[in-house]
Amino acid sequence: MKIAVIAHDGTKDRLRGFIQSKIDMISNHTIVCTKSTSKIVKEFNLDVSAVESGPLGGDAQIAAQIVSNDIEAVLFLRDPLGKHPHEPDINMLLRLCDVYQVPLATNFKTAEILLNHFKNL
Amino acid sequence: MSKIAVIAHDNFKPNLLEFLKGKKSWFFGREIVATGRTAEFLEAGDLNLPLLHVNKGSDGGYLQITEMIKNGEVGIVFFFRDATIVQPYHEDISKLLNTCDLENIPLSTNQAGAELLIIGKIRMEASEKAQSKLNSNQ
Repeated sequence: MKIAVIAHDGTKDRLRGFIQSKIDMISNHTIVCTKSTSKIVKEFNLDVSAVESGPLGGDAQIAAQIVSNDIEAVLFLRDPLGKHPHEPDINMLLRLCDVYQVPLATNFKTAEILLNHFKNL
Repeated sequence: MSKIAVIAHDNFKPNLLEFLKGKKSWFFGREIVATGRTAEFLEAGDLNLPLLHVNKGSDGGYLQITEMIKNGEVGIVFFFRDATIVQPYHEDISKLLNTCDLENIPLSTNQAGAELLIIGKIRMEASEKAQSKLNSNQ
């Protein structure tokens, strides 16, 4: 299945550890990431397609894919304490996940449980 | 055992009721907290699970649940959010969601995610149980 993975700068280091520990649950999915997140995912030799970075519209591109039904789940490991120039885009992405009923994880624990479910699909 | 928080906007209150009824055996015996009108709706719909009521969302209910999350009292949040409406207490909702992410609390803001989250959770609990059984037999 196609999963979008996005991590803010404040959570990118944690994302590295997370992928490392869950690699067997992640490797059988098609992954789409915002640009700088995709660099982390590529470190693990996973196949990933990249859209623009968040501030340049990457969240908006992923949101568009949600609207056209191309994405089945979103792991958005956001940093709620960070300030982001593209805050409206972030909120749009979260909103559209709920409008289109796309499973969404906004923190690592939720992401872990969702992946644990997907590995059996 | 930590509490389960359930919240639904009006359009999704019937969906939340069905969701809880469908997984009733898992919810049974766990402490469930709901915002005021969600709790009333669930009770009127014969959910027959004991619910802890906080205020309705417009009277600070989200903030009460946020406090519980900060105090480590909540283990999972099911929020059936209607993202097509805007509410005057939008800030309270943002605080709740932010706090879940800061505290790393399992959260779904829609039903599709909730269905997966609960199955994932049931599986994880089952494997933890099997593991601890295995360990105690060693």
